[in-house]
Amino acid sequence: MTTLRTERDVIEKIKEIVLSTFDMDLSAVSPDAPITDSGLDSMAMLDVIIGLEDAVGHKFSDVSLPRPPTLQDVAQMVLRNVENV
Amino acid sequence: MSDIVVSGIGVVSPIGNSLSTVVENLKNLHSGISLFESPLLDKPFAVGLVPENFSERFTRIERPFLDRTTQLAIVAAEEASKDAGIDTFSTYGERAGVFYGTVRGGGATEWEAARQFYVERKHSARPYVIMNVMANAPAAQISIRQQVTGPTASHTSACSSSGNAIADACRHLQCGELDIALVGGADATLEPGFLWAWDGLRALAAVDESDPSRSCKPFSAGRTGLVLGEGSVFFVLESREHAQSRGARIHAVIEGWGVASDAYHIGSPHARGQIAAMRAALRRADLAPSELDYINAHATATRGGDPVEVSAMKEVLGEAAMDVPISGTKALHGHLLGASSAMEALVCILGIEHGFLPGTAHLDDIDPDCLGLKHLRQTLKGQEVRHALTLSAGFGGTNVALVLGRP
Repeated sequence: MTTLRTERDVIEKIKEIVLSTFDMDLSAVSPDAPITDSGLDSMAMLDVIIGLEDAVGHKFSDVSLPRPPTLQDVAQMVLRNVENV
Repeated sequence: MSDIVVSGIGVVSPIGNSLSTVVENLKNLHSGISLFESPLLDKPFAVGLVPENFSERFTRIERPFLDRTTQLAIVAAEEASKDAGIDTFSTYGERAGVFYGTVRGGGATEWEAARQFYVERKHSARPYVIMNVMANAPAAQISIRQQVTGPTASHTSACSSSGNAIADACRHLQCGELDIALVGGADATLEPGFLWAWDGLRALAAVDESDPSRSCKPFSAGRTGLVLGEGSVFFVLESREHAQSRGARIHAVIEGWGVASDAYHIGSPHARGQIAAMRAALRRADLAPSELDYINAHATATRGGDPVEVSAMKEVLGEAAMDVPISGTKALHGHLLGASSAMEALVCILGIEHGFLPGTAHLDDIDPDCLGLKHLRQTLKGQEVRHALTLSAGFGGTNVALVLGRP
């Protein structure tokens, strides 16, 4: 089980999942840039979120995100869900 | 009425992924059947595998959405368009369509998702599962990739699925609703769970112990059942005038099609539906049975199915029963399910184009119940093939016959 405490932890985990699943390197993507700009569509992002759920070991109760989401938005959503457990 | 012509062909099959390879294997009766083994199965099975992993052709972001069935369909459809000299269908607007046939949909994805749910108790399904298992996914992916913006239809009528797709496309072209169509079928179902389920039907062939590639034996006294295969075959169809106006090469003409149902039993065929389908196709082609130069039979090599089909053929051919050469090529490529009709239409087209009639492989000892037809045991070369008929008979009793002719 992975412990994700900070925004930085989550963003690094997202980048790791995206690299292993889709072979896409997000290392140069700014935390406040829309993720869709890098070529990941909403369905792929949903797949990444399921990967994050697997990493922390539980299902998120609220995965709502602004459109289009940034890495920071996803990280904040994950942290909200982790804190609520 | 304008002729409907075949101007492009793409094939992914156990006997080759190019037309030249398929021709050579058909001429030489070289079987593409091999052994399938899995630690999950208590015995090996004979199958028609396509020994190529197509995933590398797609980006990592695309792959999760592309079940192997979809990958095979995309590859065959792109080959067909390339062969027809078409880069994109976007200029046709609503006057181009995709017509597709399948039995199973994205089976590999569904079995894996089922395993994750029932065995791993995974908390959530991957988001692409549904988009993979829906039966129309391959047709939709082809429409998206090749910018086909007219009708996109997916047919599922078991073993006659792609035949139904071809017949549907022909109707659309004949009535003038479409100028051009991408038409075919696909299935890639060789998963342990699927073989296990099929084995429950007691319909699969026993592995030939002397040579597994000889396991499928249509019409033979020693036949033990069908051999499942995987693959995809696509055609570009258009009116002769349309093909000529754009300077396209014409492989063959679809002279007739007939669709009829047995209305009898979900798993046992009845000759009446097969007879009706063949007669309808011949009527549309305006041909007498004696004018056929070849018949590619459905011939799955099951104990019950082959004699029913033979009786239907004898009824349709009448006095010409011992004159029209007939063979079953599933002995070589296996049963491609959703791609079966299209594969066997391709065999007819290649016979017409290259002047040969493939024999029924492994037919050393004909079953007395299958006598009364002119069975080909060897390939006949140097033949003039003017008209050829292929019959597909699906579980549930949906039958499709197609008549193919020279350009």
